[in-house]
Amino acid sequence: MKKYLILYISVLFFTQVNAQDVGRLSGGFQARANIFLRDSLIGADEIPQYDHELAGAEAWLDLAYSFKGFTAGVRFDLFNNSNLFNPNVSYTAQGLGRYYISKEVGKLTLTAGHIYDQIGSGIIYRAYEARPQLIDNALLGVRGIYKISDNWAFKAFTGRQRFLFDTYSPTIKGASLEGFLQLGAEDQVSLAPGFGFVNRTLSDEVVGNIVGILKGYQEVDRFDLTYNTYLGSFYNTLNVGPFVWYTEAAYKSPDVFFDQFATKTDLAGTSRGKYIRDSGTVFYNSVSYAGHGLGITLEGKRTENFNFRADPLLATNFGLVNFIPPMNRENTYRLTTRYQPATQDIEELAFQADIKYRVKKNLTLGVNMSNITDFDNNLLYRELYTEVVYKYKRKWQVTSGVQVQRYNQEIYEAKSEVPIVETFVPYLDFLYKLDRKKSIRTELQYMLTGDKDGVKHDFGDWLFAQVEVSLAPHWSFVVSDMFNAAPGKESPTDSNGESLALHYPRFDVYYVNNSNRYSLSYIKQVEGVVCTGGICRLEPAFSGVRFEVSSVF
Amino acid sequence: MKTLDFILTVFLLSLLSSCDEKPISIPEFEPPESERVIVLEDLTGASCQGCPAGSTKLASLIQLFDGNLIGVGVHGDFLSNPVVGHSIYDFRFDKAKELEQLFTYQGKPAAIINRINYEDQNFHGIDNVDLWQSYVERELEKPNYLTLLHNSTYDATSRTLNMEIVGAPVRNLEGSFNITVMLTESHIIDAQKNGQVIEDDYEHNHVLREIITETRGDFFTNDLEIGNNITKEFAYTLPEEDGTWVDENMEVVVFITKVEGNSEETIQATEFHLVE
Repeated sequence: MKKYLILYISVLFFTQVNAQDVGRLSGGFQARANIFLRDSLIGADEIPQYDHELAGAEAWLDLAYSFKGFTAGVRFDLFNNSNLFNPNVSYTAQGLGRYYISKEVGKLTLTAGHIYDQIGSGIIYRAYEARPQLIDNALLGVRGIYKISDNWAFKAFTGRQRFLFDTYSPTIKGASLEGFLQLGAEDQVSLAPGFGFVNRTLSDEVVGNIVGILKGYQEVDRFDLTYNTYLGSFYNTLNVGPFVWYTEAAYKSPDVFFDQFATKTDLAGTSRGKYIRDSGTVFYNSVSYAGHGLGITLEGKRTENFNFRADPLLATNFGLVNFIPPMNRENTYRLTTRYQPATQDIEELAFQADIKYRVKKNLTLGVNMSNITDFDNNLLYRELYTEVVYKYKRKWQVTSGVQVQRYNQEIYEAKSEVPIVETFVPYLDFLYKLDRKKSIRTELQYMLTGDKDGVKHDFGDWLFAQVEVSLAPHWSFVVSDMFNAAPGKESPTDSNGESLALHYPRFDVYYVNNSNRYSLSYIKQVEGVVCTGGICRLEPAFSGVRFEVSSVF
Repeated sequence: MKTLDFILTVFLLSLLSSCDEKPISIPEFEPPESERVIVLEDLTGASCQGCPAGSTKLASLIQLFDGNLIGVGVHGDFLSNPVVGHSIYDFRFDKAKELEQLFTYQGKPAAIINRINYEDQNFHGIDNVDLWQSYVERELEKPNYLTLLHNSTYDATSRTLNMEIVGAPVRNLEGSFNITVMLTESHIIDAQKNGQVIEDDYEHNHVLREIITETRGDFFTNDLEIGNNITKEFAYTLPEEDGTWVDENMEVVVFITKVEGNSEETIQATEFHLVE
């Protein structure tokens, strides 16, 4: 079927080229090749890539063709000895990762194939792709969008969630109704309300697995089980002059999920972690103001029992159907991103405030605060981030500030007997333009961590320095080093048990030509947490050479 | 627009009315009657915080499937390192690491059940502890092909074990078969990470201490035929006691696997005390 799809698209393309009206073919290519260089000191060893595979690659080629309201696309995915799927094992596979056809028929747009979409902010449903973590939960199914009027649209979809080159067996259906209203004498007030609905029906195979689990539970841990789970949400964006208020409230009917803190009773004793069944809610609000050089955003979120997967028995980042917005700042500097809080879907109470003020044309001040706890007010994460950006004519620019964090490593990284990691990170980013085409940018950061009984938290203190030379329009050269200046409890040790203050250097060369971008890097990277929008996973250390190419056409 | 409003309203109301669903009944557990004995190799480790849950489940399953399940705790490499500042012993050894590397797994604890890479699992190792029971049940429902008998002597003075293993086929089966002989030890008190705490007086059971044969087993026979028994002899001298290697706490685990290329399946197993 896939071969015929490709043939059909090709025939359509060439037919249309010869016709008077010409369609449009577009696409993108992204590839990455790794050479793994074993480094047992930093823990880059004892997995197949370092032990005997030595090299790996990932590639994605997207092609899309559109013509008179008709769009079709395919994507070829390739994984060779890849550690993207699971950082501790090797994954090799290739094939059509995505295919779809879409057609506008009057007010109705129909799509079949792999579909990316979301309802509201994604709290009850989001199908998206995040390649750094190989998250791709597209729905393989059909979708119809009907434009009721210029301001109202109804959407419905059904299908199964993608898993690599296959699908999970449960079925997912959804619908939403969204609109736009303008009120007031001069249309100063606008409303964009929406209602969303999602239903997941478990397959007999998954139900059989859950029944098998419940048969092994003692009576005190058992619960009723149904095939269906339902989610509903109401969301609205209210615009009043410079103010914007987004609100979303979501409900999930009783659903099976794994509670890692619940106590399970076994014949041989008790243990932690078991499946339970309960309903869930999420309440999310965001209020922002922008005017007179001042921008303020206040957010609040309460999450309870909102783990929702295609298959309740899946874990980590597999099978996620929804996306709960993260409540911390998306930082960009190396040390300020070292500790990032993964969104908690069982229990989380979070607040965030972001303020930016443009003092004058070349001076901007910013401060961001976030606070995340559980319902018992136990601290999960707290951050204070300040920023000053000053531009001197078109000659140079400096960005500087501090970040202060409190990070609950027990919860976010499942480590035992570790304190709340405390960090203080001053940073400086200086960009100097030598001329219209040449510039130098330097970064300096230092992470000062707290200590317990004289031992630094986690990996201890870090010093990061980077120099980037850009020769427009084509070349960039980057040299950086992350130095474990004052090793901590988790830092590598030598054969005598003494902590080692290691360097983690990196060298990059970038070349851009039209819409093609190439990079070649030598990398030593410490283990850490990689997050994409609050979805995180622990990554082991990396040591090797990496080549990347991306192109858009 | 009004017609569409009506259709949408009916559609949404019908969705709500279809939310009433009859709960699925959960049958009571009854252990299958079987002559088979299943081997569950638990990829575990002293530094693995979630592994006590696997150990508890394994102990519960051994009770539940009384006589039909053998447990082996494999302290290979990943998270198997001693707990720094707490552990007295190091349960890792080269063959355990080799064994662990034969299997794909996402995290620990992970169960290798009868050495089978199940098609409905993404990895060889089943890391959902609550699923282990259903896979053991599945294995017990398969036909039995072999009876395993043993004749062993252990000299406590020289700490030497001599054993004769006899495989008596009860059904014919074509293929190539290996035999694996392991030594496990229980009741070892040492540190173990358990969630957010470290338990210094944790009791480690079924710890794999040695693989007497090759890691993937020694050749046993080609084809199983009723009436053609296969006999293999093994000898092993235990190291001196160092707080562990307590002979009274040790078990001998023997199992036969059907090997096809890189895949294998355990078809029968037996376990007996080193000191009877």
